[in-house]
Amino acid sequence: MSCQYVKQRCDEYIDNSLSEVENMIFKEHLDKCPTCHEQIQQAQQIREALHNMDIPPMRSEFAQQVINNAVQHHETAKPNLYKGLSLALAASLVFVAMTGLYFNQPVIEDSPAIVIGLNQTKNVKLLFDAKDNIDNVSISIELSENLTLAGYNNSKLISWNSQLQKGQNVLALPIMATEFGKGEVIARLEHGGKNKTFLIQINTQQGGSTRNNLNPDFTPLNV
Amino acid sequence: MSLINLWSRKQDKQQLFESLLAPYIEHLYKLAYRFRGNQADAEDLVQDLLIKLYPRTQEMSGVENLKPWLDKILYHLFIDQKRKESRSPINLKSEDLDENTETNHPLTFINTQSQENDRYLEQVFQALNELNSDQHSLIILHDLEGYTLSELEQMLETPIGTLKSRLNRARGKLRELLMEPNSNSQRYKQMRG
Repeated sequence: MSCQYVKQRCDEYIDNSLSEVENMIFKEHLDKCPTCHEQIQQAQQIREALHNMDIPPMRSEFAQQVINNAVQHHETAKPNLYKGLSLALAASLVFVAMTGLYFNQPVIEDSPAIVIGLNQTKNVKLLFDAKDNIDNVSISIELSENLTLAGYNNSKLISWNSQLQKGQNVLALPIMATEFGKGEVIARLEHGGKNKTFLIQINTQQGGSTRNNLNPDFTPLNV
Repeated sequence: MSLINLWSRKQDKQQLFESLLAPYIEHLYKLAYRFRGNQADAEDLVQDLLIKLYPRTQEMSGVENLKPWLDKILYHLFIDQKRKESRSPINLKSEDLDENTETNHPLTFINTQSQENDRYLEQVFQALNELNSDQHSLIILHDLEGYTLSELEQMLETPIGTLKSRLNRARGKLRELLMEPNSNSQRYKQMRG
């Protein structure tokens, strides 16, 4: 058996889908070949790690909540539901209109408050609609004391340079609420000495919040 | 007469819907979490799935094995979401953010065994997210959920040959991402014996 053969069949070996004879020959090769042995060991180690990844337990009320929302979505009178949905949608997807290169004086645009459960993370998506391609945009995200960006060690100010492409640009912020109360996220975009500021209000509440939306539309803000 | 048939005769759609779905919500949440990587998005994905399914309650009651049927729809919903998201070119780049934040966090130098273990698992999770959505979901469905490639051929409506090469590339990329010199994999390996 060659190393090339091992490389080709290693997925089947890991999946335990080789025949008994093939499996035996495969093992014999691994005993003699440290390179192939190492490769298989690495693959098994990754697979083991995947199995060990923690999943936070489901909230106790989630099952009932998600079923009720689905039923309500279809059974409730349409006009009211539509209105309710529009509000819910704004909760995690914020639409921001950018007017290409034409930044004016600093502008603060408010969005409807987003609700996040205490110690829970919600992906808040900022949707920037750019009329042109914009290179070298300086982006900064500032978080109030009761909020943190999951995975970024409680940093309250994060800045980097990027570019906007013509059309919709999504910035996904995994925001975690660490304390009760009202908080805010300030997103600043700067280009060529001009800047624009957006304010997103975040309220923390006990337990999680579940949107009952289906369609990926959004509520525009002060366009 | 089965409970499901009895419910159908009563035409109690809401109760039928609940009785069909309730046993699978936790499983769907876990699968959605593995697809999406965080609780809020996982909950939203499950919610979207159930909203889609309610009009198909009657159809569901006739499905013999509901779990793979639900997994398949959840998978397609996830892929749709990812494709919509991928049309937007700007994302937070973790390396950009690390550059700005790393020096502020001396605690990262403390190396206890469990922290290293956690960090490696985090690396695995990040590496998984580096895969494209087809590769990502194949690893989850095959390696974690235990679907065979033959089952996935039906579920994903993709020829088995394509799935084999996709799996090979996905595992290769994970190895590549995780076996770099700076990764914690070697220490993890020692810890796991």
